[in-house]
Amino acid sequence: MSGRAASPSLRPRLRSALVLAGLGALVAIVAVASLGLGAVAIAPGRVIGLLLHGRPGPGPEPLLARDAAIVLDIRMPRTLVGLLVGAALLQGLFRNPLADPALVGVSSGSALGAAGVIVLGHAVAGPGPIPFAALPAAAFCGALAATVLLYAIATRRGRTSIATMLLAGIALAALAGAGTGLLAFVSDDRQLRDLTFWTLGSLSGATWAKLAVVAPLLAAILAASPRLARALNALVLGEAEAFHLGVAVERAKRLTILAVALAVGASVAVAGPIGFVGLVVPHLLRLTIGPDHRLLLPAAALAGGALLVAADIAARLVVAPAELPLGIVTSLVGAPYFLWLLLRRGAVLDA
Amino acid sequence: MTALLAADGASYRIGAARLVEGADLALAPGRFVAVVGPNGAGKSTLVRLLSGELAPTGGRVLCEGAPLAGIPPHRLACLRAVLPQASRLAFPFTVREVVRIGLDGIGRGLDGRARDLLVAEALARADVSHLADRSYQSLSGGEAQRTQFGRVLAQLAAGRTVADRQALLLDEPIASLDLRHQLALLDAAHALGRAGLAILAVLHDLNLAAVFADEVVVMRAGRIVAAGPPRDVLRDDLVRDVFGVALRIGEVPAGDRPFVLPRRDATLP
Repeated sequence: MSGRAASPSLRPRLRSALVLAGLGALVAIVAVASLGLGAVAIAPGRVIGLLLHGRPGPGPEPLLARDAAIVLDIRMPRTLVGLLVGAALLQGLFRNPLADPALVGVSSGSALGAAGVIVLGHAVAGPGPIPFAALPAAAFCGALAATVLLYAIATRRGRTSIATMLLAGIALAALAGAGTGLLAFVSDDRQLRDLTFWTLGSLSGATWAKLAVVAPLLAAILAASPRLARALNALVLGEAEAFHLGVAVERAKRLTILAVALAVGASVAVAGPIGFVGLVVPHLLRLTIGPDHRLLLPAAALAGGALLVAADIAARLVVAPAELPLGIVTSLVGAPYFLWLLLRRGAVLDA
Repeated sequence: MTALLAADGASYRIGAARLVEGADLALAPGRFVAVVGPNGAGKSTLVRLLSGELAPTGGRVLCEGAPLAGIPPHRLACLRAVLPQASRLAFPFTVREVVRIGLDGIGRGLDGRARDLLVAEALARADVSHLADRSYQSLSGGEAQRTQFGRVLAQLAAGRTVADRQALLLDEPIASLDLRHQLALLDAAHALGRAGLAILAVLHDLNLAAVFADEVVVMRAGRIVAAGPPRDVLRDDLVRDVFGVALRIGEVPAGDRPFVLPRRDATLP
């Protein structure tokens, strides 16, 4: 298979720099588009002006203040949340291109935790607003439990069985889904509506307050991910081989599980479970830039962010002034892609 | 001089199954040890004990006289390399990338140019230079095995920059190779031994063991039943008792059947 875009003669470091710079530019373009497009369209030049000069004082142009409110208060947090959420990764740990958080039940576990807070929160905490930190905490616990369980089930003597993992993931997702369904059954009308729209996934609830809770978490994981890249590369050869090459395997696995659960938990808490981004993005990138995690992890974070924000733009524009839940858009694009992947690369499942 | 790697009465049990029982073995620099024995004799388990992958349930495994378990993995990676039986990869790494993973963790003091040089050298010595930009997933079993050998060579070369004594463990390294590459790989391992490495290889072919090894270790049912120079160990009664075949050492086939026996440095350029 020689589907690599870049020539092998190009110096690897230069190639990495070019790839990351290109993706960075893509993120910038999508971000400006996301800030400008929507029910009220604002020209890109005006968006950039607002970003550079900040909020205008009371002036001769009342529209500018309106645009500033739209860009800075409404669209900015949702764009930033989208960029951050797009970066959750799982595949390196399971050494398989089909391991996507949504596919193998990790997102479902996380969603169950969060649904518990939405529906049962008032019964436990009493009336009044539920502290926002409760939702990510529950989502994180759900994601962690699902990841640990999945890994324990699918891995025997250091080898992860792909068939077992996918089947166990389906079972876990069904189990968590049943739990979420049960919560829906006992919830009142308002909770039910919250729950339904939340499980479809959306960036519309993003506010600066929510961003402030999850941003440090996700930023820390993104900053730490390059440190895991070398271990993940060696783990592709197998756990025994990684140990022979000097990787402290159990420690690396625990760190990765923790990072996965944190990233998925935080993402699900702000945006709901969003399917297929984690499957499509790393796979496409692997085909074009190769599987080296040192480049793949940062590149996937950038590309995932760009894709999610782009999907969010589509979700806002298609039925404007209303908006589609984001999860519907990503699944509409991601599910056919996944089927195509299965048809084209049957060998993946036998690995 | 202390042995580089040594099993001192090492045992490994899972439940009632005794995979390795009371093994005594020392790997010294410059020596090539071949481990032979029937299936299920505990040869691979012995390799995994010596590599530190498994901790012995009885006895000890020592590296330079110190318990192996106390040495951190990144230090161990400089001291010994392991060539496993060939396996497939789920991700499309190229041959060059797989070989480069061999020196990712070690030789951090090396600059980019030195790394490129080590990788190119390992690719050439494993005879996979012409495959360098191919995806590992598209290789035949033998080509994949040679790529893994290249990775091991890269690891050893990087490790040599920080450790002066090293061991190489090979678990059935030639099972999937053609005749030429079987001999080439064992020649390469033998040359590393002459250069001062301690070599241990699990082999099934007694002829190859006799040609390449300084010492042959025979295992049966988890125990080492014989060890010594090939001519002392490989005898009619041992072959009959351990392998369950009625073959005689040095017997020429009856009639005019041809036979081809291996020797060192037989590969043509």
